[in-house]
Amino acid sequence: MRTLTARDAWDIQKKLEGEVKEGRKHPQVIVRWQGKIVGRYGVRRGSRETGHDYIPEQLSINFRQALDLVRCPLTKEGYFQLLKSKGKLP
Amino acid sequence: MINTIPVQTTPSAPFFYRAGLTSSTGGQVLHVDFQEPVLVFWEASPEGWTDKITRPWPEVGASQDTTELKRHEIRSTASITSFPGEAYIVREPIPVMIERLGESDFLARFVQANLAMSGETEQEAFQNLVAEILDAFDALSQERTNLGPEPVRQLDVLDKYLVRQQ
Repeated sequence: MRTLTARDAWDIQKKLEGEVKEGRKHPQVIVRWQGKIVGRYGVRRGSRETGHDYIPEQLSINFRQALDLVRCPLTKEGYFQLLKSKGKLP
Repeated sequence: MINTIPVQTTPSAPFFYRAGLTSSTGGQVLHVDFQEPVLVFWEASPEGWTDKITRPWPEVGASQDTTELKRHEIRSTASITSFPGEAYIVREPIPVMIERLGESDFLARFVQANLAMSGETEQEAFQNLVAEILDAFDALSQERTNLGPEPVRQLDVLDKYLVRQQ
């Protein structure tokens, strides 16, 4: 079954132009809309390509939408439209 | 029709229900959010799993549409009671749920705060979550007036459980 990997986490970071901040054990990705933080997640260090399925929830989207962010059907603007429709934008 | 049989009903521990399905997958264990009396599961779609669905547990038998459920095995629960070496105080124990996702893949969650981090062992996932909680608290508390609705909610939860030492 498809899971989100660290590579996917970084692809999402690039798509959403998330700010990367070094954390205590792993990097953090901070997603902003008009300068305000609307979501954040950590990206696990290590070589294994598993273990990031928690990211969609932390970005207030579902798993399929997160895959769409990775695969290209969902744009950055589309993502923020989704957040707006869910009342998740300030 | 989903048949549910409670396997464990201790109020202080997670509830597990074994569901009989009409699909070929057979029985599945549902992940239950023990912070609230609800069942949490996922519906199948051609691409994989769709929205997480939450139902108050007495109503789960009425959910007719679900044909596939994702297996989540809760390995253990734990609490964070201190942050050794860090200038933070735990105001009340932080509940942690650790799930097994695969052979060497564990996920530790602080459900209320919507924070999670994985690891190759339960211990690694737990330690990664500790760091994640502190990183999130730092990132959000440094910008208290610059947060969207979900980060505001997360920080409200974190404020209940920890505080930076003066």
